Amino acid sequence: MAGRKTATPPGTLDLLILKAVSLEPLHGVGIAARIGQITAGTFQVSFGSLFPSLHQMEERGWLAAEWGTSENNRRAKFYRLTPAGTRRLKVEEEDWRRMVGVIDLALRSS
Amino acid sequence: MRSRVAAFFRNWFGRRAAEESLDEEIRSCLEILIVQKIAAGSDPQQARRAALIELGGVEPLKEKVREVKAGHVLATFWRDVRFGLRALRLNPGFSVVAILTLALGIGANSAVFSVINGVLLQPLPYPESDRLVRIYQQNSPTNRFSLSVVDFQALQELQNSFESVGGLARSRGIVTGSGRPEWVRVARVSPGFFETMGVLPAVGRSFLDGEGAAGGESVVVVSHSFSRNHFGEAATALGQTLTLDGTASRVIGVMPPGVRELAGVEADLWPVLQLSTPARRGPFFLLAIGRLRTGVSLDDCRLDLADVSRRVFPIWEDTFQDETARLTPVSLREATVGDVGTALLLVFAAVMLVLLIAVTNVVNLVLARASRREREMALRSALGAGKGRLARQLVAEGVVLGGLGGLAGRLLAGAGVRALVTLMGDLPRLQEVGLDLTVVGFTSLIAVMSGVCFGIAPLLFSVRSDLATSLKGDDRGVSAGGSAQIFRNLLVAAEFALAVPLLVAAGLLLTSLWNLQTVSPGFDASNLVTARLELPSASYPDDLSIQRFWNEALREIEGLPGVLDAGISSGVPPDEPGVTNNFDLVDKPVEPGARQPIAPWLIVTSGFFDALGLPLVEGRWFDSRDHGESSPVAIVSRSWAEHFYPGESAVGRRLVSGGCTSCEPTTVVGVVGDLKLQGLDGGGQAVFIPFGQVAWRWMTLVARVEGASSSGIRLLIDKLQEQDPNLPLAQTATMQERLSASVSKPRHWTLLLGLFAGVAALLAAIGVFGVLSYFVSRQGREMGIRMALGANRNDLVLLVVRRGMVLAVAGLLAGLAISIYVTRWMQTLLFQVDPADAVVLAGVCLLLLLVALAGCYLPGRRAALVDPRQALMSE
Repeated sequence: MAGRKTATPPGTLDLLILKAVSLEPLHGVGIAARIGQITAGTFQVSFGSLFPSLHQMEERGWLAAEWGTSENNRRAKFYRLTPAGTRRLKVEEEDWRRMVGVIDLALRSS
Repeated sequence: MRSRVAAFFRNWFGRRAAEESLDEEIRSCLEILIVQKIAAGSDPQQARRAALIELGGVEPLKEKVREVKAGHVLATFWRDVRFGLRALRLNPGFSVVAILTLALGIGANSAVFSVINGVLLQPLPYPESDRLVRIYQQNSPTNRFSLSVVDFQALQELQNSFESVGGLARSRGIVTGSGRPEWVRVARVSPGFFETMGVLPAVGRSFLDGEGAAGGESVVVVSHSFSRNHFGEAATALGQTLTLDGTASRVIGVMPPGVRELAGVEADLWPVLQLSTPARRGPFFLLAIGRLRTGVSLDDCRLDLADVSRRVFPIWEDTFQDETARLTPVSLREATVGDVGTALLLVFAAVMLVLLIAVTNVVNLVLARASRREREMALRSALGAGKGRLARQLVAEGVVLGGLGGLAGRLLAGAGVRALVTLMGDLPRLQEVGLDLTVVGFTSLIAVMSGVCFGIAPLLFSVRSDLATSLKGDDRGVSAGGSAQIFRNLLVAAEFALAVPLLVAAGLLLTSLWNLQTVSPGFDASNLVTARLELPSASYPDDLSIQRFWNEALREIEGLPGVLDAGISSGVPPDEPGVTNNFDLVDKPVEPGARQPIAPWLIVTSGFFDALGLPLVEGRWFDSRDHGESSPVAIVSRSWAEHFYPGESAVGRRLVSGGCTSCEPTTVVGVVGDLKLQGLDGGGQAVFIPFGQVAWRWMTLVARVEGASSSGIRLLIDKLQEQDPNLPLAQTATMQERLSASVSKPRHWTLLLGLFAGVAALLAAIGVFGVLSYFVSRQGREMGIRMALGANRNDLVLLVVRRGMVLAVAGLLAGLAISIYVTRWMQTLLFQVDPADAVVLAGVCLLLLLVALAGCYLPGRRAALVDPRQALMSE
């Protein structure tokens, strides 16, 4: 993966995780890879932040976990989006866009 | 939120499963990463290392996940608690000593606090008890006394601050009729008394206003237990008649179960108080209670009562002069508890000191142990535990220790309260004392607070941030030297300093008690027996009949073999003067309106003086010249004569008794040796009146008999019984028993304080022992070096002992300074002892030095047994 590798901005990790698993259920390593992929390699998620967030979101009911088999025939824990999680993704997306709009507005004013 | 809560319960009850699941998840991710890296070209070993680095280590990662899961804090706390318990189990020596020390300190504290709570702090068990007031007469800041009938009636008619007022006259009485005549405690109360207190009979009714008039029907309210013993069920008691002091009284009410005393006076029966219009202002025997109107303060009340006093007292001036006397209100709680407060607070202070010493000891023990765990702490730190995490763990362990100590203390407290209640049987309100919730809360608070102390103490000194040094295992870390050692030494010195005031106080009380017990009561107390008797008014309606009975009885008794002398008196040494009367000296009267002097006023036969063996200093004894028709005479005590007629003879002087200016003055005909009547610590003034001139219903027979006292008493009782078979039982005691009972209260306090002081000294010894033991175990290498350099074993022992003694002496000096300052206010509790008594102070110093030596002994011996080669090689 090329490009600057930076950690995700604070507060955006949950959003990115939700987005990453919205397409299909993934295990921890897979989610990290997917986030790198959908951000064109810019954001590198550390496992030390990822796993705690995954477990927290599972406890909050946005993700559901199931044991399955990985692509290389290893047992792994897969996370998928729950209906509540889907709603949460939408909410966070809207919040993000609104925030970006506001900052944009602020920066454009003279 | 709901799912978080569900997660909490899932995490808590499925802990093991969750842990396994987490482990499997992280490891599977590790595997996947490794496989990916191998597929990308790394060799297995490199792939593994790279994967681990990328994950950040399996354990740290797992820990990070655990930290965010619901219920994490609780789980870690629980784990720490379990670890703490296991650590305590593995260190039985430390644990047992620490927990016992805490149990002692906390238990003693809670027990005493329970007593203080019940006696001092809790409100009285009456409805709205803060509005209850006891009304005294007060004529000086320190002199309060009861009311006379005049005062009470004036109070009832003229006061404005109370919504109701009640009066009480206490006495003992005899109930006859059913079986054996029986002594009962009697409290005659006015109509309105029960309403004032707020405690009404459960069955029947209380008194009507009209029933308080003289000459009316005798009605009585009985206690529940009395009713049960005599009539069975409460309801059947109503309407029954009982004979009290020869008078038939009708039962009109039964008090609720458990009511044994009202306004601080214990009673079995509450007959109605019937008052007639008085002829003179004295005597003073009524206890008056008032319930303040809502909104009226104690100060308002005081002004109102002063006004009443001003209006009424001048009317009765001829029979009692006292310009300064005022009716004064005192809150009932203060009146009941009185000066017990000071003594109790003293005990509480003592107990607090012991607790402080106990906690100090345990902190010391904890610190000593903590230093040995530095390596463990360093390892944990390396494994990823943050400073905060370590701190939480240490605090949890401390709380476990404190909690166990508190639990043990709670058990001890229960036993302690029972012991205290038995020991201090004469404290007011003692029946209200119990180990209640307040105290349990108090105990728990102390336990938790001390637990936190124990947890934090090691943190302040032991947890190093320099991992490397700690991991190397250099045992002489921070906690072995430098600031930690100084702190521990200070703690031990402080323990000694705190033990000193306790020991000094105990020593002073002991000396005071000794003085009390050895002071001469004025006579030889051996072979003296007493029997107190009341002649019922039904069979002995007047003075003549009373005198006839006693003259006959005394003649018979003196004729008995083995009886050397016998006499009767209205008062008994050492602490029952009977009546104190006011008087005025004819040739040296006091200013009009000023307070007249008072003295114990006893009615006696001359046999009384003979039985006690009092010497005649001047003048003559009473004899047949002194009878009802002749002029009133009196014999006075030596100190009375010296006080009122210093350097002159008191014989022939005249005095006016009881403010009765219209009566014939009394002439002093003799002076006798002093006799203690107002307690062994009281003075010896007394005035004696011949029985031939004034007879009294209540008299005590005093006789000197040969041989064993209990058989002597039997003789007397039988003789009295012979005179009148219907006589109720007499209260008997030997004079020795009376003297001993007289000092029972000081004896209790001394015992209690002595106990605490002993515990404090013991704890101080343990403290110095602990610190020195630790010192010896740590300085092994240094000891070895010294021996190699030529020191012999004795030098080593001396080194250790000197170290310990320096601490003890430093503490001792500090403690002496504290105690000299503090014991000053103990003066009121001491009899003929100076608070800075040199003997006591010297004795305490000696004792503590011995105690310190005892504490140094074992560690010293251990130092002497150190093998120099092993010591040098072990580090």
